[in-house]
Amino acid sequence: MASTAQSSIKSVSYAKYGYIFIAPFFLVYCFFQVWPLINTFILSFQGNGIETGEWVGLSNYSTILFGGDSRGAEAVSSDFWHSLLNTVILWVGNFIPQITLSLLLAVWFTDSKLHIPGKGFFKVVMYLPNIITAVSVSSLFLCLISNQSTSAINGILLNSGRDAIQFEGTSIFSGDAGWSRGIVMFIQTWMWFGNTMLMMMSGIMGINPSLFEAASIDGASSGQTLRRITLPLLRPMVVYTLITSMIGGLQMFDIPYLYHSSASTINEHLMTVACFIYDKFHTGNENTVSYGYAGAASIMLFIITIILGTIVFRMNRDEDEHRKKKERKALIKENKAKIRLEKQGGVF
Amino acid sequence: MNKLKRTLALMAALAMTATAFVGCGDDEESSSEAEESSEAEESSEAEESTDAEESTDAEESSEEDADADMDTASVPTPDGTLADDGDQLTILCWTDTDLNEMLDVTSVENAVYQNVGSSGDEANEQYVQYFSSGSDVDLYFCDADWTMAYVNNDDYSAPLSALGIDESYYSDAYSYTVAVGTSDDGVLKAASYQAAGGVYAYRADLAEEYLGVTSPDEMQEKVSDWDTFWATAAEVYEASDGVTAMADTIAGVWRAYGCNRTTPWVTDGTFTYDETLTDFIDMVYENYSAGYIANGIEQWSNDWYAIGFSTGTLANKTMGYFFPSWSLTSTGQLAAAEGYDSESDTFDEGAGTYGQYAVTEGPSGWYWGGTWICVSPLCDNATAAAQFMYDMTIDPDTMKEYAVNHSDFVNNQTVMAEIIADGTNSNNLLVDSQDQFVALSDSAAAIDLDGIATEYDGTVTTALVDAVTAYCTSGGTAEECLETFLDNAASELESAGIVVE
Repeated sequence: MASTAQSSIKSVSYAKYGYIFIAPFFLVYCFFQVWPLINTFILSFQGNGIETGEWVGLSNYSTILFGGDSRGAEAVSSDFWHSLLNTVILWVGNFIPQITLSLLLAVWFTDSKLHIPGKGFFKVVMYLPNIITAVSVSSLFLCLISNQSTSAINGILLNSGRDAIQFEGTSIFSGDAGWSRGIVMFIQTWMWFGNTMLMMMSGIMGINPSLFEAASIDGASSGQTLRRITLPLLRPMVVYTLITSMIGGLQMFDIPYLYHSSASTINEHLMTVACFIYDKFHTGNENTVSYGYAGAASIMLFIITIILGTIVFRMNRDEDEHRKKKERKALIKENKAKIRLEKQGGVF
Repeated sequence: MNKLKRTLALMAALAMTATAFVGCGDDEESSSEAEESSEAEESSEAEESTDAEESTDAEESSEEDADADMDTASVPTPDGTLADDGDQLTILCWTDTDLNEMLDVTSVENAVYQNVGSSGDEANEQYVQYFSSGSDVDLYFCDADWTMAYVNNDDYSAPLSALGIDESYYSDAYSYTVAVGTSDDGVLKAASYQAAGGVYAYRADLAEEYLGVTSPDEMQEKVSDWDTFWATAAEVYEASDGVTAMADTIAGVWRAYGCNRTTPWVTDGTFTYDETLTDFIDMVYENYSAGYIANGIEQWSNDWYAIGFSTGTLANKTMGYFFPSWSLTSTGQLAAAEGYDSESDTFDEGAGTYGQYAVTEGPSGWYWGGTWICVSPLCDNATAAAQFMYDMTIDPDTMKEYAVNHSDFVNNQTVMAEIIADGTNSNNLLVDSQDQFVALSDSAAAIDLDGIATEYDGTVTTALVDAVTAYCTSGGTAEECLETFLDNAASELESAGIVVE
């Protein structure tokens, strides 16, 4: 029933202005993000050092994953696996305390029966570490607890006549490794639990309050409420946190890279995959620089992230919903087949 | 009105895009203004100082020209393979303290420098980016650890013969600097203005207390070779009740000991080593465990300096340091071990060791670092470049002036012998303002690197120090340590196509 005036208005399209407005972002994005991403793929199939730019097929992948005949190839491979192991240890070691602590605090802060004074203050204070840059945080911790005699803890030890502790450790097999890994896990937890806590709180506050009321009227204890209502309904939020934290954790770079007081090298048991990649493409002269290995390790990290992400996502999917969806699809298919058959004049 | 709005919006969007891409452009334009202003200041300064010194310069040089060597008397003439139509001599560097002093003494007037402003380790990456940007560069400075990588790469370095300079100009230079500046196929491509020989800088007060030693000569007898060095270490350790170690760090001991190598790290694409390495591993493990090397200290950390104080939690932890020539300047590492704070540019009286150190040659002649000057194949100022190279690496007059002004140990044996004979150099950081050049010149003269230096030395040194430190602090066996080292080195050298057995 559109009048001619209305239809003429309809034909004026403002879409092109929209495109013009978003064009700058996409131009910059393509240039600085998409092209480097594609280039990483390309580099991973090209050689290292003196062979930079030559196509070598999958040899970078086979070297970092399986080593090779030479000691050098074996060493690169073992470095890569060590770095992957370090990454996993550091991530698991910071995620478990982080999620436990955030969940606990989130439940306390949202519980209407507990009247915690100064909730806003605590939320702000707990979120604060997250807005400090990683560089400042690591130098703060180097001042507090590190190999240096001037670090607070070693200062206390030395002044009380004890020996200084080598908190940063030295070798991957040494007993001191636990210190540096533990410290980095602690820093990561401390930096991120506030953020996760806010996520959990928003998740809990999104749960219908009548469920909590009903539970308390039925005489559920707070433990039961937590287990039967809060946690199951919070699952999407936990999955979201798990996935984002896992992606961030696999790419962990700044704190492990910065936590060492000696000027020379990255701490061996804090060498994450991201540090490995940085080390390979960034150091040395053009004879020893390894764009190929760095590219291949980046792609491996990408693939690992996709696989783990998919697994986590599948594990936490609502099975009922998924089954119903499948059944619905099957029904539609059946129906379509019926219609087709009828059209062809067949009898069902 | 609508049109105006649209135009405005479009302009804003375009401006945003344009600014986003500005970073991709050639940075020469944006930096040239800043450069010009600093250059203006500098050249005016330089002019003033040259003006002031010109008259005396002229006199001096006319006097000395007469008795100077014929080889080094004439400024080399470029052979014409490099362009000569540029208007400024551009020098690439990563720190400008040396260069500022050089611009004061050189007769090249239109020289400017580009400071990439990074640590020596990272400067070569910055250089590669600078070169690929196509910006103007005539000469550039290289750190000892990676000079040879540039020397062996014809894309980045031109032979010095293009400037008319050959080996005969360097008959007075320390031979190891020529060895490092010569490419694998025997072409001279870099020259050093300094000789970074190393010494053992020790606490004179502790030496007197624990060893009864009162002069550097007596001390030299106590550290004349490695066996005596460790024997003295045992003496010091006992006399100090296990507080004082003889050597500062594992890396420092390696710098001094590693120059005894007779085999280069890489021969024909294969990694090679000799018994110097295995001896070093055993020696360091034994002495580190015994407490003769300060435990848990790494070079360049704050603790490295703190062990040189006579106060604080790490007081008297070390008897001395292995220091190269550039550590002994008024703001160098020795100063830091005497309480110098670079931020406030003052000495902390509380450190208690100001002027308490003395230097002696130590167990062996060795070097650490140093800076070489290379010529870019893109050089468009051949005459000025030749003049600068001549002034800083060949001409005894300007080199002497630079050495005296800057207390740097220059790469010319005659000049250094003259300065020592003059007795004009004194170092306030040392007891009785000792002249560090005496010990340094003995040390530098003893260095022989012919055929030993490779472009991978820096990488291998890091790999070795890491492996040996791990062995000393966390245990294991010497064989495992060697394996770890070879693995470290193999991993780093894999991309260069070096085979490690």
